[in-house]
Amino acid sequence: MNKRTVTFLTLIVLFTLALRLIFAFTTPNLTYDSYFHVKQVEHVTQTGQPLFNDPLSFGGKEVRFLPFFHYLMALFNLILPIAILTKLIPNILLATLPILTFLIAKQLTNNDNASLVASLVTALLPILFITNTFTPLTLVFPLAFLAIYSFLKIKETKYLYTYLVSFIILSFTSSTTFLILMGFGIYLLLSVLERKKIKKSEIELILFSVFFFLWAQFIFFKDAFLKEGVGFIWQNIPTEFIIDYLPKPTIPEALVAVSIIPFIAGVYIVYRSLFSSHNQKAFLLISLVVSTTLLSWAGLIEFQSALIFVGLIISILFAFFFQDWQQFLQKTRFAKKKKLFSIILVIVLIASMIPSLISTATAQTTPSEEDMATFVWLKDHTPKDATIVALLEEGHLITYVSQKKNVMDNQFHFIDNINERFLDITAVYTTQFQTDVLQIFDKYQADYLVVTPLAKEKFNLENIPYISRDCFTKIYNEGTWVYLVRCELTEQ
Amino acid sequence: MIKEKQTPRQNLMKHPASIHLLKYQRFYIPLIIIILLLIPIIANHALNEPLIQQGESYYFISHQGNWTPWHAITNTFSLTALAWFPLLFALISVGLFYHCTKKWKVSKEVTFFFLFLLILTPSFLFTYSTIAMYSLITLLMLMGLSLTSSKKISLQILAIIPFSLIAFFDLYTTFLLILLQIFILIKPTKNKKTKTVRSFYIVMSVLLLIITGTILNYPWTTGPFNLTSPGTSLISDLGGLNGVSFFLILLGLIGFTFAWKNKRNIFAYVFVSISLLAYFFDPSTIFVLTLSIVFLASNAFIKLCKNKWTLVSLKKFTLLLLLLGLLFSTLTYLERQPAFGPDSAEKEALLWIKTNTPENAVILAHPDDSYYIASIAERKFITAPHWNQDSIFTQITEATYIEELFPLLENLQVTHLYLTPKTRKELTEEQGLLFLLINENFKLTYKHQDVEVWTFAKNGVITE
Repeated sequence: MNKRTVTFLTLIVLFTLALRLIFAFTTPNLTYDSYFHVKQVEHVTQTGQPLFNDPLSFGGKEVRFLPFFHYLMALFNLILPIAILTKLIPNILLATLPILTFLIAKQLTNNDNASLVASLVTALLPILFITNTFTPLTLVFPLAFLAIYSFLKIKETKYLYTYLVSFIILSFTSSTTFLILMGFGIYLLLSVLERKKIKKSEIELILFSVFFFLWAQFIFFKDAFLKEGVGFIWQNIPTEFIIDYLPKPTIPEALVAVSIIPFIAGVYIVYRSLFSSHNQKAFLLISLVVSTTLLSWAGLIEFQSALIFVGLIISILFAFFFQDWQQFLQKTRFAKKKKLFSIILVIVLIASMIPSLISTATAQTTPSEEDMATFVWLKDHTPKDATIVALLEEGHLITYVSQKKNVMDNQFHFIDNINERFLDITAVYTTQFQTDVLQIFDKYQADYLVVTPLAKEKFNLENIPYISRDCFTKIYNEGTWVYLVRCELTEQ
Repeated sequence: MIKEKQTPRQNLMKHPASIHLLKYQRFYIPLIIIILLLIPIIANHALNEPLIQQGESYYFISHQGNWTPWHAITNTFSLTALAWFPLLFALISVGLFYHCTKKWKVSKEVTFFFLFLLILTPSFLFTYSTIAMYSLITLLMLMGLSLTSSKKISLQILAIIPFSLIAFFDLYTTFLLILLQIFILIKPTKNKKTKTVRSFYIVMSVLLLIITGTILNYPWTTGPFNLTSPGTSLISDLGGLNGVSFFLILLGLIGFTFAWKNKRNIFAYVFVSISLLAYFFDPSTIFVLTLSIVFLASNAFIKLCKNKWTLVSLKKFTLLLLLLGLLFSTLTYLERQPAFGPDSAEKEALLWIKTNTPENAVILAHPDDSYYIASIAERKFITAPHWNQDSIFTQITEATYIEELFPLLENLQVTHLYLTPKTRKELTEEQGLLFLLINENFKLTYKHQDVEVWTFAKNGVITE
């Protein structure tokens, strides 16, 4: 790699890191689901163990997750305060992605300029600008691409070991790793169909990866597998909520999330590699796109994760597009102005991606400062064993910030009648009848109702029709309403 | 071209430990079987739970369906003696299996890994820790095969007895037997008499298939013995009643791709396809499917052990992971095996029904509990899994109003309801049967450790 390339790559990485950190520190708080992981990291720091038996989630339940991310963050927590750590480390991790995409693109195209453009596309990928998220996925993406890069360079022993280490860590970080395995499966199938010779070492690594991943999942999720059976893969997500959580990917959404030029270029490269040029170099990446699309379509991975993964691969495939573009120009009468046209392409690319990037970063759903103040207030002004009803999204805020029991959060495993519970929570915000609500509060032994601006917006609430002074006392009214429920239903 | 010699480091079959295991497999395999099969017996004994578990056992004990050789055995022996039969059958079957494989010159590796992977499957543990149909069928099949492989014609003729008995289970097993007999027939032999005897086996089995199928009305498959769907019962790790490990299925798939290259494995493909089809028709035939999966998996395992890998340590680690994965499923299965039922509380309730209800009482219970009602409580039930009519039970439990429920109960002459915690969990409290129980026509007459017996009388006059 020449000095010019290193300088450009460093600039891209620093630029993306700076941009990410600006957004992260100017946006208040973290995304709603991040608070579950913050709580786990703090617990690991304090006790050395994850909180697998949460006394507050759903009023007390077993929680199962892969803990590597939490242990790693707990290590950083020894030197960094949690407020800084949660915004700094994930953004540093995601800022390494342009380096990895550069390396993969370089390996496949052997073209520095094209690889630099690929890394620039990664740096500006709109869907990646979820700067205030603190979830294992921020570690999964860099690790996954490190594993893919190592897999491509499997002939060298040091990369063989790099692959093994990164894959082992991935298996203990997130079950999303499955999409790499699925990608490997499709890669083998494509290779057989295209009569590409598969390296023995590739098959060996794939075999190892499959068995190791399965083994790791069985160790952590044994009970969930036994209880939920095949349904485990859908994480026991309530049917009504699944539409929000796992929406079917649509092309317009993908266009916005990945940005139009890289998306079209990616589709073109996939088409060309499979049906026209039979370019076997891109087979692995194409297989990963296919596996991600299939898994997302089947509702097996979260829509956002799928889009990020596809977006990153499309960024790499953009290197092929850029290479083709340069070769095409070479054959035209504009050959002498090849450089100028390439610069124009890059400028158009940046110009098209920046608006989507800003829009994604500013549209992150995080609790406001007022919301946080409410949950802190609840911590100090409600009894220790109180159970609080809030939106599903706010479940982790109740357990982490207020340190009180919630009725529901997004850790759905091990809960019977999850649909019923979800419908009950929704009914609290939508019903007209007090008896229905009191019945629900009795059922879950809940004491408080929280109506945040998010809940008001979600259910279009100007007031709550069933509220009566006898049964509901408003104890907090600062943008968010908090009610103490004073009645219970008794049988006559 | 210089070919690198396979060293013990690369070919794990040449490792001293492997050589030792293969040499003394006739000691180790029965020892593992004894340990694994004694665990449920000891656990049930220690927890004071019934020694005989599962609906299939009680299907044969209560003499449901057509006559089978198991009916004769359960008629003759006590329950305590019966609890030891599966272990005995397992040991004899292994002995016969070794006898046959030696005669057929099957390699020690194949014999060892086939048996080793088989005995680790929950399907094997289930079959040989309950009064299961396939434990006796396997024994009879192996007896027949051992006699067939004998040089003496008189012993070969004697094989007709076990082969004929197999025909008295169901048509599917007879069909499999005929396939096996065809396979034996096409095996080359110089002795003309042997060929004639082998042809006679097929004629005999076909005749029996026609007789049992048309005159005696034997079913295509005897089960199912519980309400399970093929999707949920194949993989034990996903909560299946028995089934096989997910690791074994993957290994089986690898074995399938290896076997694809070898055209001689046509018989294996036919067997796998038939057992898979039969499994989807009736999940209680899972043991046959297990045998085919294990056959493919053991071939794959041997190949993985023998093949040269780029990284020897990775090979060893992968094989270790595989073994750990298989053991993991076995141990998880053994851990939850005593909870399969009936448990001591359920048995107590069933004995209460036996002594406190009229002899003509009809009990409404979950179809899975029907064989316990027939054998322990000795009362009539409304539906059983092998009747394939679970809609009756669903109709009753989902009835919304008493006007809907009472005629159904009256038509079936139901006098009592037997509710276990498992049944309650499957039903909703807010509506249906459990909701309608709060009615003067139902009276809770027995309750112990959440097992309930309710008495039903439409006129509201309940006398006990």
